[in-house]
Amino acid sequence: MISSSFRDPSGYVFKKEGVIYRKVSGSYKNTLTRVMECGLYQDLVDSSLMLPFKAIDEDTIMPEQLAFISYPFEWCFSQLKDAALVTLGIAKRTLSYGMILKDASAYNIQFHEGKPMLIDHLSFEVYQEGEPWIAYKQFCEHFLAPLALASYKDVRLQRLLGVFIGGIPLDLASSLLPFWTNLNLHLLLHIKAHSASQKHYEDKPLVKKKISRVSLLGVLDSLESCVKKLSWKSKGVWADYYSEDSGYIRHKEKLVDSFLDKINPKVVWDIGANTGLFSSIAGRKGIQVISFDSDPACVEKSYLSKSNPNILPLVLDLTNPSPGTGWGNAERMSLRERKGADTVFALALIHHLAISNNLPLGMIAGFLKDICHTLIIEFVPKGDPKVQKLLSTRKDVFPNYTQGAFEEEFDKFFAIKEGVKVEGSDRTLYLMEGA
Amino acid sequence: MISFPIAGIPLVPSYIDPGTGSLVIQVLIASLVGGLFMLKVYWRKVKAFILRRKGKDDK
Repeated sequence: MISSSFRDPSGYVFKKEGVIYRKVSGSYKNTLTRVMECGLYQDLVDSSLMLPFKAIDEDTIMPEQLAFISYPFEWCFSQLKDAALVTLGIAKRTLSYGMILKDASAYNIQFHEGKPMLIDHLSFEVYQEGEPWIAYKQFCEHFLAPLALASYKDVRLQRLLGVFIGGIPLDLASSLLPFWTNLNLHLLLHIKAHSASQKHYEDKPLVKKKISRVSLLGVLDSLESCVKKLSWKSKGVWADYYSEDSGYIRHKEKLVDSFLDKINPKVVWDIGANTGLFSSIAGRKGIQVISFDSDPACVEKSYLSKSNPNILPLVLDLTNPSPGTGWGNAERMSLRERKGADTVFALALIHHLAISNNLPLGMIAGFLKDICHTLIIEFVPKGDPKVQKLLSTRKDVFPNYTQGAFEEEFDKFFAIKEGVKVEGSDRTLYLMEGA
Repeated sequence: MISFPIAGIPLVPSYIDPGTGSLVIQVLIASLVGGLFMLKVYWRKVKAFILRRKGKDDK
């Protein structure tokens, strides 16, 4: 059984010979049959809102396999916003089939072929007139609170989702949101009043009326309006990196293209991808690309460009990659556990790791060897203006940061197949293969 | 289907805790936005009707 699949007794996910399956419990079989027979399943799949599955036997289904599992704390603002809107869209549509979405976990959404989709096929129950949306609290904590904090306070607060596995507590969100957000009626109701109500009813029994179907649709509509109005204007310093006058970029593109043709990878991780210029070269060749960058503005730009469904941009600080979180550190996988790249791009990155983060070259090589088979890496020498910029504010304590030392250290982990000078610069692009 | 009524509110069997305070505020918000939602739906219908008529007249 997959370690994140213990919460819902309706079934569980398991992996067999590298393929993901979902077991449906006896008590849930009738509900799933209803989801299929009433047309909800087909409607959601046809609308690209839910991942399709194939029935294997009477209690096992095999969902279409995902290229990569990503987590909400790795998404940019618009990815989380789109995932929230997909969740609400499904909730509304589900009601029109006489059913209801029983949970609203952001972890139930994954990006597949460029689109956010529901992956939990056991997320539905039969709707009974008068029943409120049981997932309301979860939706506010998993989606609304992080989006509001990112939009009105600081986009980096979205990363709090990695700390609070059950979503951002509303009292925390409420205290962090600026006072003037009280002018936003939706936020005032769904976060501030919601948080106050949670506190007030902490130890009190519940005596309340039912919610009519129209009022329930009104709640979903209010949440949808609220989410749609939330926005974030990126101001990252790296998002315009490639618009700088840098002639060497064109030659680097050609080199990456030719290296890819030589090694034909199926999956590439572009670590330090910026806005995904080099990811696009691989994406255009039909290669699945996970395009990481630590700057949310770069990832936002890359995601909004919707340049290629093969590319999944994600926010990741490589010097502190996503750890294993949740129960037993195993509920959500660490980045290393999710490895699966044939090739890693480490372009214009080595100086940031070795100089900004003081990482010895051998440690960088060891890590990269662990996550890929082939490596396309750029060495940026000390004389390069970008390295000089990094050194301008600190003492140069890096006597070993030389091309010779770089080759020597990487040679311990990889076979260096090619090393080509990038025209218009002193940089060298290498093609290496795991030894 | 079995439901678990908590003081008058039917709830589907679910593995998540809906939270008492969250249910209470949801009921309150629902009473506020339910009417507005109805108005919105009818307004859309009226708008669509007018636009349809306008389209026919233009032809």
